[in-house]
Amino acid sequence: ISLQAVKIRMRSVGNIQKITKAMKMVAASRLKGAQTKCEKSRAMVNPFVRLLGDTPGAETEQTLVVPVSSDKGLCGGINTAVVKYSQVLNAMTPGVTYNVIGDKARAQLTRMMPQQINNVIVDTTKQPLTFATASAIADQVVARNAPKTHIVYNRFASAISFKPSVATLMSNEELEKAAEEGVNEFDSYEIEGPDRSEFLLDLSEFKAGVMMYNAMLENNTSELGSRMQSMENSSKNASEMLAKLTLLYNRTRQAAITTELIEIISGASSLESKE
Amino acid sequence: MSSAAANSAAYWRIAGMSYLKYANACGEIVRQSLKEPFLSQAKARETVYYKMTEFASGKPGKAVITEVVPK
Amino acid sequence: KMKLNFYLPHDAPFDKTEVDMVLVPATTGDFGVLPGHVPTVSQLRPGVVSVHVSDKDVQRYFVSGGFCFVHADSTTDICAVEAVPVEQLDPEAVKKGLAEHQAKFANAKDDVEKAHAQIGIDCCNAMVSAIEGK
Repeated sequence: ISLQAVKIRMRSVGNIQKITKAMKMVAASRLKGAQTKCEKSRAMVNPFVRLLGDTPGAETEQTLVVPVSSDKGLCGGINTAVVKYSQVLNAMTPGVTYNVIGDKARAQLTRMMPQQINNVIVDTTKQPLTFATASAIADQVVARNAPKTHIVYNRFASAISFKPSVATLMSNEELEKAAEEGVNEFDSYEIEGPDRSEFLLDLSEFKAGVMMYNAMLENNTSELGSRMQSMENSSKNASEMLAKLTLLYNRTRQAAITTELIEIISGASSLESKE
Repeated sequence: MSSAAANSAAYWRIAGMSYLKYANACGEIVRQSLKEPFLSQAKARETVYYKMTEFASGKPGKAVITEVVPK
Repeated sequence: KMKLNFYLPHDAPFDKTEVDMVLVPATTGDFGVLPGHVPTVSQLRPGVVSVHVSDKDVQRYFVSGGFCFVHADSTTDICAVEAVPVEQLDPEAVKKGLAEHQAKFANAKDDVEKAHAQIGIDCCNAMVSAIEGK
């Protein structure tokens, strides 16, 4: 191996390490803020689940699946998990169509089942996500009139742990059925507002916005955590490789010096012996 | 449209708005009526940005950007 | 005492806070929630939520609408898009807003514009009475 080749290799590994370290720092600095925002959005989902129940297994003729993924890669396996869950839901339930969020799920799902895609939404994190943006996206979901909607996303647990999760949203007709069958406790409440079916419509639409906002923040926070982790690993790999290359470089250099020395000494000694 | 929406008496529903659109419109009015410094803080919550592509029989259409910049 | 959860998408003014009483503006009229209230779901109109934390500590929030759930175990959940302390509202801005929306209503070309203007008028009127109702 030439000394020059090893040096070039070392420089490129060093550059990669600089990039991965910088990406890790960027993700780490954004994580704290994202986590706070995400945790604040979580509380508001609970009252709706408490009132309307959670019935992911309810059987309906049609199901809308909303996979929430990131626009950028280099963030471990979180997008793969979302795509896999979305595929499983397709295999398990009849009449599945997709409202895809994020470029990574788009790339895979439009290739696998283009006929089932309704629309794709990207660039949702180009500006800090607001409830207004999430509501506009939820309105696209609500407009599909699906009896059941599954939102697939990564729920943030900690900077090193994310759980692929499925949140379920039922239409007002399905909620009415569930109330009549006693699956949820809606009928044990008195209603102050419009009549029952309209009330449930308003509720389910509002819930769609709340759930979408939370799911998108959870996934975004998971993305940052996952990127931080995978960039940390890449940096570590680069360090190890750099250490190996440095060793190789020194050995090669030492060998070259030794060869040179031997040549000089043997040259000198041959001169000496001639004298 | 669901039957509940069709029979609704609410004026915003009749105009074709969803509850989310209505609730966000109300929220916007409240935000715009704040004193400083609360007004500036609340402005950040007005931003809307996303890019949507509708698909028809497996083929993507044109991408449409929806953007609301706080005034 | 009862537990109050007052949640907004971006914040939580009250989270499992022990309070004496809450007054909420339902679309069907104002009502008060005391411990042991019958389970109720209500849709809120733009108006004032008064939180009576204790006799001396009463906090008034202006909510933009949303929902209020009173559960059987004396827990109350209020969910809204926006809620701000009434004293953070600018009376001048509210008056100006009301005039603007009234003008928009008069010039509205279709149902959607009209509905938007109506929302503006309703909210501003509610804010005017919230500010005056001190």
